[in-house]
Amino acid sequence: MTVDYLGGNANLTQVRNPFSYEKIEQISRDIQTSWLTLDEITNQINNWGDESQDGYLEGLEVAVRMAIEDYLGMAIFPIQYRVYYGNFGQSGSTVSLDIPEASAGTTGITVNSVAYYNASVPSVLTTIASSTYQYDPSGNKLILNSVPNDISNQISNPFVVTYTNNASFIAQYPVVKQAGLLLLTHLYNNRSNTTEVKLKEIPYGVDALLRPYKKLVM
Amino acid sequence: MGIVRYEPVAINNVTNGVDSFGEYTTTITKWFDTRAVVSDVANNLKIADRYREYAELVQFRFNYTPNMSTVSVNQEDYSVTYRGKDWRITDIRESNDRMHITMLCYRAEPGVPV
Repeated sequence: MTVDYLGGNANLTQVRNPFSYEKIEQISRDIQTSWLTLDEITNQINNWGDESQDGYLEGLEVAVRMAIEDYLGMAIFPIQYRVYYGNFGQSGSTVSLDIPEASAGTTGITVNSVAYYNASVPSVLTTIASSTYQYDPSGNKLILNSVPNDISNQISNPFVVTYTNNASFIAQYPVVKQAGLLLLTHLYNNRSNTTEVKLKEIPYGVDALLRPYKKLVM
Repeated sequence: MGIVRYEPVAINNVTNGVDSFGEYTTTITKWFDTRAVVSDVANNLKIADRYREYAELVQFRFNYTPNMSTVSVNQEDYSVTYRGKDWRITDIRESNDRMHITMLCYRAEPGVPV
């Protein structure tokens, strides 16, 4: 068996994730509110005053909006996350907790709670006072001023941050909405997972329109 | 490829009845506006005896929606307003994948003296 040239360590997990979080959960998401209006949609697909398909189109619109949110890593409507961090082992010191998804600006996210599992057995999730941390929008980090000294050594990822990624203003850009209409038209016209002929993408399609707004992920 | 020729049309309800004098009546009321791909517009003139008879034929392709499915099932109860005139449906084809409904529509001008 060959030895890994990076140091003989077969497990490269820590190298591949340069951020301080270990696990992310999406815990709340708006799956009701429309982003593209019915007027925009029916004009796009030329149904216009025919309202008999509105229910179907509204469902399709939510799917399109979620697909674009996922593609761009951007919140068109607020999305709530729970993020887990390992034990830093630095009680009393200041640590930075990377925030996985954040809209631009100081109000890009709202921190709902920061908590940790304490050293009791069984361990209790303990909320940290909001006066001891702050959000750093310049680095998408949560700065925790003082790591508690009674953190559990048994829980895999004892730090838990719950936050809401607020709606991004980019979602209202006409170019982003046009990409949404293109994707909606594609899904409206292609309702099966298979086709008999190979489909071709148009120039300046969804990818081209959204590319400038897609974050570079290392 | 050119721009697809979508044009605004309206779907109308057509009600046939008999008035108090015993005459047949036709009432046309708009149901909804929509758009259709318009193609194969054909105008035809026939000179019959002392009259010119104009007949026009056009093909519309609509998205397959619940409303258009209803029109397809009861074609005699509906007409299409296109370019401000009323067109009767002669033929309807539903595509096999239920994505489009194609209609052949017809209208005739009243006879005009030659």
